[in-house]
Amino acid sequence: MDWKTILERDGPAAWRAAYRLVGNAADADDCLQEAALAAVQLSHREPVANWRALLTRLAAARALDRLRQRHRRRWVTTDDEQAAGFVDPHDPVHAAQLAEVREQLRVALAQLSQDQATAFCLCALEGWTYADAGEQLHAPPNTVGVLVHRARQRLRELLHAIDPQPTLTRSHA
Amino acid sequence: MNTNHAPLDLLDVAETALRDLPEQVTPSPATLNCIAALATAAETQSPLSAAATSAAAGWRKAVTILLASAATTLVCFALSNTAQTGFAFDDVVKAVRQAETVFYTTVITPKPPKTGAATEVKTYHKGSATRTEHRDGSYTVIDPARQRMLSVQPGTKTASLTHLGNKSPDRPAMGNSIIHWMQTAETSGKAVGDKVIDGVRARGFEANFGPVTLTIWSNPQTKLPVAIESEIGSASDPSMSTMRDFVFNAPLDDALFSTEVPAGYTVKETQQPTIDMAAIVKLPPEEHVVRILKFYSALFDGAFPERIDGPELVSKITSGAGQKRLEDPQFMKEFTQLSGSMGAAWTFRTSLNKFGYRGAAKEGDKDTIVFWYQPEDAEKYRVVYADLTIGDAPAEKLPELPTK
Repeated sequence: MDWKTILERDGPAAWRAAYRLVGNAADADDCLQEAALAAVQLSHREPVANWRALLTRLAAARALDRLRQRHRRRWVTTDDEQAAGFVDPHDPVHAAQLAEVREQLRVALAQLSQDQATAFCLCALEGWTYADAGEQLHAPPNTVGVLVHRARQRLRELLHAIDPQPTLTRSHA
Repeated sequence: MNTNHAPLDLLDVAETALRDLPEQVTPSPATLNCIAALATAAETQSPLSAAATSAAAGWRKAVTILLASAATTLVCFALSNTAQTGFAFDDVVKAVRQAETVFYTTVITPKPPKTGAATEVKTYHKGSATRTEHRDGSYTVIDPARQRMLSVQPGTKTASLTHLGNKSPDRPAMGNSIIHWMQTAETSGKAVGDKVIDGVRARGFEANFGPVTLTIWSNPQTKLPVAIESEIGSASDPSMSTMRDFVFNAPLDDALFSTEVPAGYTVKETQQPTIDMAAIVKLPPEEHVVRILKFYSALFDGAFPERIDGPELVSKITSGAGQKRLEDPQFMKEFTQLSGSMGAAWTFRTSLNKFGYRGAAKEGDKDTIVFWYQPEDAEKYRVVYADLTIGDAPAEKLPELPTK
């Protein structure tokens, strides 16, 4: 297997999926490493048709594991989002609000079931179709749709519980 | 639907905020190369060693999940095989010397552990070149063959390129110390038992590296280390160093060891002063000690360092010197010259007979012995007094110290 080519071609997408969730490069690196190793093991058992999808799914799963660890241990996220360019230097207040809602969503995601969280990440954050996600999750597209729908319902409840009166307005959207 | 200044669906906002990741947020090429090398190594090894490599790379959870019941089988297999596989420390050294590349993670934890205080670096070796990466993304590449050292700080988009003064002699350096030592030095180690690390029953050997006692845990199948533990730091501020996640003989891209300044970075170039290693090698141990103590005491108001033979000496001198001195070419020239003596001091524990150093003394007392060793075939000890004079003294004149 030409892992250099696979990683150069498909690694960045998987890494970015992990980065969205963990918020810093060091943890995203670790997630991609773990995903690549898991992919090696999986490839011994079955042919892999879509390396990008496999690596992204595995990296997102590892990132969700990390989110749960942080949630359990009540760790403060060590984001490097400012360095990454997430933050708009022209509007630091709005940027701070967005950083806060990102973190709130991460906290909420950590409380979802693995199936719901993974389906939400792949479909809502990574833009996969239900069919694509279903192939990776070994589930029919309809089931994925239900998982995403339930994930959204639960996330809304959790976000409301975290912040009953969100201050963000559409003025910057 | 939402309108301007109306409260938003928070999930909608949060989703968008997470999804809209700036395009420039991507993994570094070095990271991808490294992971590709890991994957290649894992794939080309036997199932047993692949799993061990995986685990050693810090992927215990992934392996546990993915191999499920196979994990139990793996441990049992390793245990049953280890009992029949005898090997000595020489086998470990031999295996390390045959390795063409290696990379590993070093975790330094204060003792006792303090929350959030651990530091972690990744180190890569290929030939004589070494790359050290820190969690903040900064890294340093030392390429003795090209006589260049590059330090890169992505956070500030700055780099410093040092042209090394002369070809690196074949001597242990602080940066690649332990692996280099195992590759070149005369070594011996005693077996200290077995313990299971990452699902492999590893055999432990204690060996001295300068003043530091290392416990090297090796895989009985490959004879290569899976973890190296040691206590470092000063007596008052001890730390545990654990080198782990070893991967040997994985293909490492030459780009990892490039000393070319990345595009768009501001670079500061310096010329490291040439060190006359031939002259330094000829110095007797006591002369090295005098050089170190003289330099150190000038910085610290006459005080001597607690230890002269550990890596913390460099950091203490660096912090004591202050930024102004560190930017002074003359000071840096002298500091660099001193590195030969500091390197020599690192070997005293193994190279000298009955070596001792009494740290935390102050310069001045002509009767206080601060350093001693017994030359071969000599009755008296060669000593350095606190006034930095050199002499000979009988054993009964030596300071009483705990036997090491």
